[in-house]
Amino acid sequence: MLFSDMVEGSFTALRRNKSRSGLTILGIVIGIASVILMLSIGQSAEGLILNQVSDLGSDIVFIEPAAGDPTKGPPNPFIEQSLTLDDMDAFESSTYFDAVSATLTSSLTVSHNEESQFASVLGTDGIYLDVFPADLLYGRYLDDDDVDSYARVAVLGMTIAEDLFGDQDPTGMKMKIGDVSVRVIGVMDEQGSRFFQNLDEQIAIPVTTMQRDIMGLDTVNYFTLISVGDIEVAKEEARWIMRDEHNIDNPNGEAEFDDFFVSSQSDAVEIIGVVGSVLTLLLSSIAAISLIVGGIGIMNMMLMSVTERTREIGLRKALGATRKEILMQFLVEAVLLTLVGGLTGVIIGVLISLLVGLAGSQVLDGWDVAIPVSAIVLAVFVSTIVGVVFGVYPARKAAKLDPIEALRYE
Amino acid sequence: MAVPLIKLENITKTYVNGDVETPVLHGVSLDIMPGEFVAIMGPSGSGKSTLMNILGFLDYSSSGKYEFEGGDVSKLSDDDLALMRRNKVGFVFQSFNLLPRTTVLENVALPLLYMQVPKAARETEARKVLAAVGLEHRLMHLSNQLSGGERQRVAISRALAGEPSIIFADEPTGNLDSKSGIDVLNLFQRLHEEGNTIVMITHELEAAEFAERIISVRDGRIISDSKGHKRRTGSFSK
Repeated sequence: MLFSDMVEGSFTALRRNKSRSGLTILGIVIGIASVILMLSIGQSAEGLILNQVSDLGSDIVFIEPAAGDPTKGPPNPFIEQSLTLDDMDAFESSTYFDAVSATLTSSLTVSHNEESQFASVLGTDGIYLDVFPADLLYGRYLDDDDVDSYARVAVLGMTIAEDLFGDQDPTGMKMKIGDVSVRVIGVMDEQGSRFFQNLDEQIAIPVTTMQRDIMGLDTVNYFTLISVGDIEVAKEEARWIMRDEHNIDNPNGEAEFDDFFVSSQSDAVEIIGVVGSVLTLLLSSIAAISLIVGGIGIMNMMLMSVTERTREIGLRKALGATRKEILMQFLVEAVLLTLVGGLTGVIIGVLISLLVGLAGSQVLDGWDVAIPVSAIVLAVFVSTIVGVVFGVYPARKAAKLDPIEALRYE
Repeated sequence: MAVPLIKLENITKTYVNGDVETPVLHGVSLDIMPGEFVAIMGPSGSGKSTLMNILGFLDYSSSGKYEFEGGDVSKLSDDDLALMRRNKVGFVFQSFNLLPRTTVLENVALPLLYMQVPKAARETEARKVLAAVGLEHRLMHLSNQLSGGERQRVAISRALAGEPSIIFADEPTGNLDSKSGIDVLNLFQRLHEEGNTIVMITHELEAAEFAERIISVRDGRIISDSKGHKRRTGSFSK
């Protein structure tokens, strides 16, 4: 039997039971469509995250307090706040770093007259603007004198400035952070978001003021440094400087003995990659389960079809069909079913992905619609495999029928 | 002397089901020459269907020798038997066995599908054999829209398609009213006169009498084999 005849015959057989064929492939359609959708969303989300992270800049090094090695095992909730402003002096004299900035943040109530709201308050210094360059709309940014003199001054993000002061230039005006009264010295221009923080809603004040007058602490949350030359060398240098500062005896440089953790953008990208692959594994498992369920549906229908068409199989055998030809005929039917299901699933999955992407790009800044081509190729391949795997048993059953008995079957 | 189309020597068939052995054929020997119209007659349980299944390559004999066109076919594999059915044999069944919801033309072209005949040639051949049984006006009808007599004529054209060496008809009039039955038997006579070899299984003497040779089977043995008797034509009472 010619292969083209076999495919044509299978199409005819499936068309004859349109609604049954349609319902049977629904499992495959849903399975494949959800795989495409999930992979599309996953890829868009990863793109969004990488975009946020890459804004950090590739020469920037972070130092934060840590207990043990945060890349191994779950995060330790009892982290001692170990970083102080004294640690910074050693970096200022190091040739591996251009600039070092300290940051202590908290969410606090901020108010002006009757206007009052929660805002992210950033205790930092003038270097911060060197690390993350941004433009000012009004006034000036923090400087060393502000930090040294515990100045009660604030630089506002654009949105928070509008919320508190309206459209006017607020420089020179007074406002309150918690119970502390500060004077506005500048307003930042629009910045958007970085690492999922809306920078336009932040308020920056001198880190010393934040420590002494607002938080009552002598530690900071993290240091931000600009490295010079190879960033991995600079990171290693940073570790030795910190061990020296904190008197940590750690000659082998094992992260679990440190009370701090040094990272950079590339580490964040790496961690996101790990999260991404775990996510992909999870989605694939769900997809595999739905495809197995769909495949069992296909097998069930093919078994029913073999029983219904016993006489036809007997006739075909009497007319000279070999076992192999009968086997192939039913296998081709099963694969056609799953392939049609797979392709329908791809079309539906892509359409929904486009809709979700469109909606996503309205809500999330930097959300791109991603249609993973590899997923489409994989979906078609996988649905063919499902057809073969779940079609073999019914097809073998058909091929093994005895022609005499099959012809007599009622 | 011409080579017989079919030569059976001492064919036996015993069905084995667990420990129970059921002998069906006890040493059947017979020759069928090309161009003969043979009726194999016997009551149900006589073994005539088993004999036809063996002759038609649908089943194996348990022992004995079967020669077809001079070649030994007693020990063929399943696939070789399928190829013999495909290339040498046409079947007509009691219950027609047409594909439902399929056109007359496609039904008749079906055996050609397995002979690797391309689509256009299949249609030409199917039209030819349908014209031979007077159904050229029914080509595009679905098989289930036809009367019983028409269905059997479609089945006969299907058996003719691909020009087999022999046609086996298993109770071809069993599901037909007497008029349609006679039409079918007359058609067999005509095809026989045109040179086809036909073996018909029946339990009715009146149907068997349309053939030129009647082999009677009873209890797995041939009890009579009458050649060249005067053939019946026209009608019979049923």
